[in-house]
Amino acid sequence: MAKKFTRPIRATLAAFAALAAFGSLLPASPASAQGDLLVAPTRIILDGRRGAEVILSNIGSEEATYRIGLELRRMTSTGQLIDVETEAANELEQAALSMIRYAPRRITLPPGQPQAVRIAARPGADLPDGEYRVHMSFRAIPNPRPVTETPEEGEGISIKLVPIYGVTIPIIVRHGRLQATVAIHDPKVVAGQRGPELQIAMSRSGASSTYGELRVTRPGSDEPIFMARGIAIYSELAERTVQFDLTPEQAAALKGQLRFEYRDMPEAGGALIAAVETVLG
Amino acid sequence: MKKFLRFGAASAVVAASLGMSSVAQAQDSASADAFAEILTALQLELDTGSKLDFGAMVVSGAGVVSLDAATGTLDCTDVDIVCSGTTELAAFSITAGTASKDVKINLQSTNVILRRAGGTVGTAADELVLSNLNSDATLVTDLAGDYYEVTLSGTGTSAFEVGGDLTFDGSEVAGIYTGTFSVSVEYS
Repeated sequence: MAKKFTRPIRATLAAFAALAAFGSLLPASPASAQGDLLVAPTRIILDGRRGAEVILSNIGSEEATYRIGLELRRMTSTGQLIDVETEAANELEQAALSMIRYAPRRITLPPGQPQAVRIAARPGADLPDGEYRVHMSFRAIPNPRPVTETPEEGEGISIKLVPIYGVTIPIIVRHGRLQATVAIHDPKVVAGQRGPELQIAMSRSGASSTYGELRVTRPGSDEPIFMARGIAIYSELAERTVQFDLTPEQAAALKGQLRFEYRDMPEAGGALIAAVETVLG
Repeated sequence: MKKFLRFGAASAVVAASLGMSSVAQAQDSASADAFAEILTALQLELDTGSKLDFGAMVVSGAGVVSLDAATGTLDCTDVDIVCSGTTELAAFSITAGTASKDVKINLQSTNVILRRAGGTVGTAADELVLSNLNSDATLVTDLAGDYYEVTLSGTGTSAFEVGGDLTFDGSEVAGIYTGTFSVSVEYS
């Protein structure tokens, strides 16, 4: 996600004013409760020299307090992100945790109010080149509400459950010149538990993770007959399978001579990462 | 896909990005310190008024009451528990996300202890357990453990509901039991 700025990213009052103005242009959502949140962007890549910001906005109807934390995840070869306890962290993960600086860690926001969380990486001088990753969590803390109700008389039991909900996004530090190559193997349509599934094996080598979209096209056409976006292959993985539920129409269309492409996301330039042409029966 | 905009050196950039004024654009290209960046965003909301609600129960013995998010039905068949009132699933909406992206939904996997208002911590008669949080999102079977996932639409939206099981040991005193449970959307 190479971005060119003529000035370092910095929170300015003007930016917030513009945000607030644009907020009113966003379609009104019917959903609104205490703790609702917006997080942007949804992944951060740091090079260790320049910091970045994530904007957290309270899109609920009440004041809310959010806690921001760092967590560890590992991706399995099937693409699932597994929670890793700090005690079980390996060297790379410990290094990642210790080099990320961010502030603030707790934010109370009135409705409609955004605030920037500043993030920077401070890699040690002798840190080996490589990719380091943590996952930043944004979670609303429920307001302590006084229990005004007196326990009901009688035999009844009633339940009050308050969800604590939030979002986690990856924070990636690329230290040194990192590269990755990816190959796509053996795309196939199989019968899955819920219906037809597209399964693709991908292999990755190099020190960097990749993130992009999968496009399936017919020769001579640019119009994808299947597309999935936001597919990450993290640096801990040499092999990853991806699978997607297909509608019967999609499954029927995925036949004959097909081209499978894994590309950078459009906002990152859309460069081709890997491609394969194959015939599916 | 809805995008989130961030601006620096605001006025010239806002004008330029909206194509409103050729003068402003000229200023923008003359000035080196303006930028506009489009950010991918993600919004997570609990639908207004939505709550995980099991209704009211009268308990005379041990048993389990289940709310299944996939079907929306309440299972209250244990003879020692009588259920009444309306039930509801907690309903969440994701908007403004990356189109056609799969995101994992994390539900709290540990038991949630609900405590009676005015009750004592650690007293069985004042506590009950919420467990087996479940969702109507796609359940993906995986070697590393099954998990829930939603695929964001072409406009980056999705919605999912959450239910669970309440376990009574039969000693619970009448009253209002409260607790919190956690739900998160995991972006890769």
